[in-house]
Amino acid sequence: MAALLAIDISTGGILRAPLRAMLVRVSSGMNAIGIRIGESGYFASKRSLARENARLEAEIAQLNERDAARDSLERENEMLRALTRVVGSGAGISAPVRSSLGASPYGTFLVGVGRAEGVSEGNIVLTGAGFVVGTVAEVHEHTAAIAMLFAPGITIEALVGDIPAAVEGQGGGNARAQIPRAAIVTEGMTVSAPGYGGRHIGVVGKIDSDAARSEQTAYISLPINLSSLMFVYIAPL
Amino acid sequence: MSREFALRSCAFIVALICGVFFSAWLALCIMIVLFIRYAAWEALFVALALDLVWFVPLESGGLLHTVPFIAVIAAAALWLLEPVRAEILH
Repeated sequence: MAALLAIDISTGGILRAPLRAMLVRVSSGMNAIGIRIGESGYFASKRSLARENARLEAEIAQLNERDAARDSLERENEMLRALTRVVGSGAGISAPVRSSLGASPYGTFLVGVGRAEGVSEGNIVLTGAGFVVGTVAEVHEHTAAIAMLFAPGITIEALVGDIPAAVEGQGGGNARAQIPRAAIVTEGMTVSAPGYGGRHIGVVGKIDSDAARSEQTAYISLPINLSSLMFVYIAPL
Repeated sequence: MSREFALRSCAFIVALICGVFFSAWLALCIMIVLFIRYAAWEALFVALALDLVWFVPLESGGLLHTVPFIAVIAAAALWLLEPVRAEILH
């Protein structure tokens, strides 16, 4: 096992790259199957059969199905529209998220674009609202591994409002920062990182202040639900 | 097909799916529970696969981002739980 790991690391990912490509393909396939099942109206029909007569049930299912499909397209459209706003600010590429954002203990996730699409290591990854969610850590032919900014164990220099602070990642899109108690920090204050072109990286969600301590703790999070993130925008720093 | 083979195969598949699609921590828990009863060396391949998929060495990331710890913890658990297994089996 150690030998396999050593071979992979020394060759720059001879095992990692095909494994990740396979995962991205499986994930895309499962996504397509999910859409097909949703479109088939199978589950909706089952529920409706118990309540309605056959004709009404079929009609309702059809309408529900259309509604669900429209909602899904609207959501996707909204996300892509949001991304195009970010696109306007520089050269980059929108990318589909191809793995769970909570599965990795290292705070990493995979996207379905890679070297062939112009992605390179060190590129920043943005949400539709323009918040930096991570950086491109490894690039393969058609996939890339993203290291999240708030991954556990990662510390970055940031500005909470205009107060400099070291922000420690906690995983799951959350982080915390120790700030002098004398500094005025409020909930909802944005956090930006000079190292990432001064872009926003999060929002202060909660402040924990203890009179006995000289510092207060600001809990920072991304203002989006990570599990609903379907697309990201990858741009050079 | 023996009960042991069925159980180990099932745990292997569940751990792999959990680790890739839901949570690698959950996969690690499944592996450790499996190691209490069996010397399930095949689970090390799940740990290795998860590290190959998720682990990215980062210079600024501290210990967590320099060591592929799923594989390390799984290997350590397999070895350290040997006395427990011996106690259960005999």
